Formats: sequence, structure tokens, C-alpha cells
Amino acid sequence: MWSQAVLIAGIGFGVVFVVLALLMISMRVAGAVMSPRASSKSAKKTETPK
Amino acid sequence: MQELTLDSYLGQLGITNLTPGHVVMWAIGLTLIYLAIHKKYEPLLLLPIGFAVFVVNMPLTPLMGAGGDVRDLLNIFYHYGIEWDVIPPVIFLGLGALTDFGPLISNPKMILLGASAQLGVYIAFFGALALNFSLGEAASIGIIGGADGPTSVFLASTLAPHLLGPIAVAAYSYMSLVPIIQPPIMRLLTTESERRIQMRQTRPVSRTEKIVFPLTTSFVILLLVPQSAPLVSMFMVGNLFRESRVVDRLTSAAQNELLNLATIFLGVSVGATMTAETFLQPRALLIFVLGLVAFSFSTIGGLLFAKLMNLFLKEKINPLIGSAGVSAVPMAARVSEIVGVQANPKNHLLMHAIGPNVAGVIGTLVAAGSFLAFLR
Repeated sequence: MWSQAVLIAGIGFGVVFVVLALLMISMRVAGAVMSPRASSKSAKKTETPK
Repeated sequence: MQELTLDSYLGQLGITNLTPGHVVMWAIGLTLIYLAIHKKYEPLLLLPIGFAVFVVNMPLTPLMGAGGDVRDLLNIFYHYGIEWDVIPPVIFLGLGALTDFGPLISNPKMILLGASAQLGVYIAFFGALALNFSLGEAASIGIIGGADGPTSVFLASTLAPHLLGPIAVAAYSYMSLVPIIQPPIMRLLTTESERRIQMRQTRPVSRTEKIVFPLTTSFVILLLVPQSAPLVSMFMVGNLFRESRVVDRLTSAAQNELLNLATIFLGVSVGATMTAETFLQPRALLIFVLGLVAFSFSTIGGLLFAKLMNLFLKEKINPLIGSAGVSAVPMAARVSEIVGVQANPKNHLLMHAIGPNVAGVIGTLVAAGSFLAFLR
């Protein structure tokens, strides 16, 4: 039973970190593309020079 | 028909069937009612739980199948609400509609604190196994460390339904005791200078980011931990209602009527499982001890991981927000704010602590899903 328990806990805790790390990356990507700062930068870039 | 005699009539009275166990359970029920009303400890849950404990422990009451009739009122609530896994997901729908993930989206690395604060779940899991609980029981006890009541109920109803009462009461009691349990651990594991660290204001978050968040979260979690789908999908659809701003009626219903109704049914159903025969066992006491261990180690996990992150970060974070990784929202974040202000009156950590706080909810859902993947 203990070997099973170690497996369950090891994989379980690992999965928690992996899933949340993936969410962190997805939030960073979304932030880079959709944050108000990113939007204002892209707006400046597309501005027609006078 | 049974022959009518005075003896048979007296045998049908509650008072002639009373046992010392019933009286002890009344005391427990009344204590929960007292804590809810006088001390305001999680009153939304402890009040209905306490009253249900009080009434189901009146001998022969046709509420929880005492006479062998499964159609008893509270038994029906329990069967369709808890056994069928309906109420916890509905509660998550309401919680999703109430939760603002903005502080987390603005500082995504805080989500790792929500992962590290699941440490207590696994410490208590091993502790329970050492005390001869089965794997399913140990997982249900361990999840108390996630400080998330509906998830504890959801997991226990599947893996250890006979322990549902003590597990739910331990989870909700300790959630209300966060302001008492956490501060001594926080002071013990942090230095004065660490507690004084001031954090920069978080960036604003766009509406699009907030709309994308529940979609990507559902996508990632459901692909990797599909067993957590009932809770995660309801949590995220509730949040999508909120952030879309186009279904105000649904958001309002999820935040108010639906959440309140589900809370009532959850409370009375859980309380109804706490009969003298199931609750008055040494194992119930062990569950409370293990719950405290789980809570404490989850707090420790969050604090130590925040200190670990500081070894690699240019811009240091205040480790006090690590303890908010346990998911008692927003209580644990408020505790971070209070302890932070005590160290430095200008240091307001609430918004920074909300990030790990809501991340803790997601972490606990994933941990519960992982247990189900192995043990269901």
C-alpha cells in the first residue's frame, strides 16, 4: 500500500505543479498579446506617421 | 397491523429510545450552532450543519432513513445532492461567478504558490495512512488541507462517504479558524525584514484576458485531469458568465439564489450524515487532528515556496502571500494583509495575496482530480 501511496502522492503533487505551471505560461502568453499595455504598443506601431 | 398496546406505543417514542450517544451529538450540534451564531465561524455552513446534527439525532425521526425508509427527507437531499455529486459543482458555479481572477492574471507566477500550498494535502494523506486509514479515506482526509469545503465534500462523498460528516465539519471549521492557525506559522517562518517587503502595484488586466482565462483553464485542466471536470467546468462557466458581462441575470442567479440554495442543501445534507453511530468514533477525532496537520503544512508549503522563489527573482515578493495559497478565499488573503500591516503599516498585501488565494482553489481541484484518477 505504501508504494502505491508514494506513487499517488508523487504523481498527484507533480501534476498539480505541471498543470498550474501550464496555466502560468498561458496567462503570460495571453498577457503578452491582450494586456492593455500590449494593445497600446500595437496601436502605436500601426499609427500612420504624419 | 401491529397490536396496539401501551408498550408498543411507548416503544415508538423518541425518549424511550434515547442513548447517551444521541445526547453527545445534540451537544455537538448545539456547539456548531453556537460557533456559527456567536463566533460567526462559517455560519452559512455550520448553522445548517449544526441544526441537522441536532434533529437527526432525535431517535426514530424519519429524516435520514433511521426506520429503513430511504425516502426520508434529508436522505433524499443527501442522495440526490451529495451522492449524485450535484451540490458541490453547483456551489462552484456560484463561486466562479463571484471570483475575480484579475490579481492572478496580472501576476501569473503567483499561481505556483497555489500549487505549493497543496503540500499539506499530501502530508496529511501519508499521516492518515500511518493511522490505518485506507487509501480512499486518506485522500479524502488529506484534501482538507486544500481548505476548500465543496472539494472536500465532493471527494469524500466518492471515496469515503462514511467519513463525510467529520471531514466536512473539519474542513469548514478549520477554514473559519484560518486567522488563528496561520499567523503564528507565518511569523515563525519569516523574518521581520521579509515581512516588510513591499510589492509593486499589479498591472491592469484587459477584459479579453479575463474572458480567455476560464477557457484556457478549462482546456488545460480537463485535458490533463479530466476527473476534476464536474467542479472545474462549473467553476469556469460561472466565471465566464461574470467576465463576459452579457449574461448579468445568469451571473446574478449563480452568485445569489443558486449558491444560497446549494449552501442550504449542502449544510443540512452533511449534518444529516452525522449520526451518533457514524460520528462518535475515535477516527472522527483523528480526522480533526489530521485536518489541522494538513492546514498547517499547506501554510508552510506556501510560505517556504515564496521564500524559494525569492532566491531567483530580481523583484522580491513578500513571503507572507505564500500562506494565502491555501484556498480559504478571501480569509487567507486577509490574514496575509493583516500580518503584513503589523510588520509595516504601509504594506498592503491584500491584492497580491488574492492571486495565490484563487490559485489555491484551482490547485486543490487538480489535487482532488488526481486522487480520483487513481482511486475511483
